Amino acid sequence: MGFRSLSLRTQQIILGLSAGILFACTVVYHIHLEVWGGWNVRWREVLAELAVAATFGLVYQLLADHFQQRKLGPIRALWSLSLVMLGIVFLSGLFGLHYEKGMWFFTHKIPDRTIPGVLVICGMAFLQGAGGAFLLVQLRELVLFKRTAVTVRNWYMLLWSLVGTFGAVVLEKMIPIPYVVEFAIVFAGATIIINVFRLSWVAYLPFRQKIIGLAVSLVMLLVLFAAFSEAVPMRKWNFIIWEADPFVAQYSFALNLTLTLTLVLGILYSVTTLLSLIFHLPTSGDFQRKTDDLAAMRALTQMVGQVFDAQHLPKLVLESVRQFVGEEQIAWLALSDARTGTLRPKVAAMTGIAESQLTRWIDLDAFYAELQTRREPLILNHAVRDHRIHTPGYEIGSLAMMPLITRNEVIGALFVGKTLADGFDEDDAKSLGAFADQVALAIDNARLFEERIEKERLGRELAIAREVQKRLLPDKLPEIPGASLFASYEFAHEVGGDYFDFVQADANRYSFIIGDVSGKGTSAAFYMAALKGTYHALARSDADPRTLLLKANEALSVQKEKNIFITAIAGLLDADTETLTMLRAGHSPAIHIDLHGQVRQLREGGLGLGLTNSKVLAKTFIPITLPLRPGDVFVLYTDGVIESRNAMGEPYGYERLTEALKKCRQEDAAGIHAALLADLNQFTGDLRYFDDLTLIVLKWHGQSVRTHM
Amino acid sequence: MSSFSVTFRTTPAAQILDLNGELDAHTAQDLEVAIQTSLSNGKFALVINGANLRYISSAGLGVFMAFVEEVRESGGDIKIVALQPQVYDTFDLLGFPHLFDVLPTLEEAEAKFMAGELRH
Repeated sequence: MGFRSLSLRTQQIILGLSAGILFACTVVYHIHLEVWGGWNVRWREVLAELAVAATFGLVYQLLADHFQQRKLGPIRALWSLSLVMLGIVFLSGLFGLHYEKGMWFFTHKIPDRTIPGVLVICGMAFLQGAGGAFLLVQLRELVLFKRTAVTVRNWYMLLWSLVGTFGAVVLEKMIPIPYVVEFAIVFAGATIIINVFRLSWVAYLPFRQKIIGLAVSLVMLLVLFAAFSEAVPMRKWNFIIWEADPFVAQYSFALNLTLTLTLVLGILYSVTTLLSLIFHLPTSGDFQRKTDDLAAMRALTQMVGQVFDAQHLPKLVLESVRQFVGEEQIAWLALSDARTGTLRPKVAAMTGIAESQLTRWIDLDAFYAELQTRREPLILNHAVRDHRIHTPGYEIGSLAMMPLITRNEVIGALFVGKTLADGFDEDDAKSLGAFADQVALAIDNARLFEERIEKERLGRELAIAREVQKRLLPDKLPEIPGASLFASYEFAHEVGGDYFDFVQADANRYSFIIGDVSGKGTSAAFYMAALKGTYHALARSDADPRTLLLKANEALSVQKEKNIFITAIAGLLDADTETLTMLRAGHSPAIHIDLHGQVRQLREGGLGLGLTNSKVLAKTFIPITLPLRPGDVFVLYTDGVIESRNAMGEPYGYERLTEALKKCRQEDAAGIHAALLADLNQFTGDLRYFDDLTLIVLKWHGQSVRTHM
Repeated sequence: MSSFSVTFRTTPAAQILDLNGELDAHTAQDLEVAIQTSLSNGKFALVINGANLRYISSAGLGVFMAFVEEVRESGGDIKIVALQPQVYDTFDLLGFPHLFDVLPTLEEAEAKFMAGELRH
């Protein structure tokens, strides 16, 4: 809407035309005044001054818009400022000189009542006024290099104080108020002082640019001083260009005063620039490093958000360290194993040094121990003197060590070494400390992420494993004449791998097996499946427990992880001969209780399956055969039963199981089973089972209940 | 939950690993790391001191199986000593005395290693 919605080009044309017309009006006014004696009417003079103010206000706006579009950068702004001001000073001097002396195209000394004379005065005044506007526009870019609400406000205060000074002069012409101009000047002076210390651009310059800036601002200072001496109507100050005449003062006194203030601003700004550049010259390197540090820090912070790969992170960290400290340094990162936690950290990545050198030269464990308790960065500025460092030469002059701490735990350490002694100052320690904190955070994040993925993977694996396990268990148990049988299986939330099965081998014989895989998740389910495969292949043809278990052992030894084995008991119940044969392979012993409450633990047996080859295994086997008498109860279970714990951490244990069994031995298998589980649950309370829990109760009631009699 | 720790001792005869606390599926990995560390330091004459081991589960037993072959192939052995009765019972039920040298005292294991008797 309105003027600002027009295209830039149109805006510029309108601004330029308006300024031109207004300026033409002032020229006409001056010609009229000088050549024909003018109108001695106060309001016309005021009107002319307002036209002057508007003209240069528009010129300022025009230039500001232009340089808003193409910014020059601090040094080029200073440079163009010097050149433009030099041109104006030169032209003013040239015209002034000849105007005074009458040596060029003016024949009179002071042609105050000629049209060319007035035109020269107006022309030069315009040039200088535009120069002032240009000066303001360029300084604006420097002063507002770092824009904040305060700097912008101060800058506008300055502009308005200049306008105010102009206004004060005009006001005084109409109504003579005492000290109004002086007050305006003091106010403008104050805003100038505030603005000349806005030099934030200086610190960001590299060393070379600072040197150039120094030269340019010196030139600018001289040029502006020359311009200033032209503008102030005091002869004795005009030491650079003699006899130059203040055109502007003749054109408009208000403009002259405003311009003088602008020049004061320019000169003071040149002075502060000059001083600031000189003082910042020695710190350029430091400042550059600070900026690099910040960049490295930012890169790392980004990494924290992006890298969830704990394997690659250490390398990336060291890459950042190199940017941070410089190429020729050595650095390494040591991390404790996330899984074992407390054990000593291992070197995860290094740069500028080989691991063999590292372990040979440096007593890493001693440093880890110190960082572990110190929990603060440690700087050795004379590493050679430290007893924990034994380099053959002077490879490590100074060494900075930062513990990596997350969630109050030291998870590793970052080491940065320099060949020079005294390589790390207070500042380095601080920024390396901050850097290490970021590294710790990044590593912790990556680890948490991996942990979560692992957990999810395990969770899925567990779900699949459970599904498999469920399918491997028998749907229903065989009906055994003369016996009652009850079995249950409880899935644990973590460890699993129990298996049991019953198969009718032939008319009178029933085979059974109970097993426990020492593993969890899918691998446990896999071994269960292998066991079931072997069992079902054999149980109907050769139900001999010994053969069964040896074959199962063979099947397992083919595809075995070393630390996984199966404990099992295989058995065969012969209803005809009324005998029970059992063979224990490492499994928790079955319990036998007779009618009178006599308890016996059936410990005879041999090694677990998958621990050794079948030849050795066969030698350890001791099958037992028991005659069955009515009232005999056999309890088979996995270690989940006796290892179940209560809230105090006590295991249920064999003793409690037999005690409970004595009490309920009169019931049938289902009743005994229910009583045993109830006792177990009462003991453990609300705790969930940690291990799978299988409980089988077999009770022999006797063939007397046989129906064929 | 369950606490477990391993400390190392080196005697002229063997590398001794003193086990403390409860060795189960959770803590089995700590023992794995400990044994692995001993092996990578070139120590193959290992004595597992169970004097302060309160409990062992089948996953804990699996750790010994995982390494015994490698140790014996390197000319060393894993001897298990000073087990508390209930822990010995677990070893015994699984048949471990068939596979490992399970001895009542540390000194006996050291003496056996000193005598160069690696395989039992």
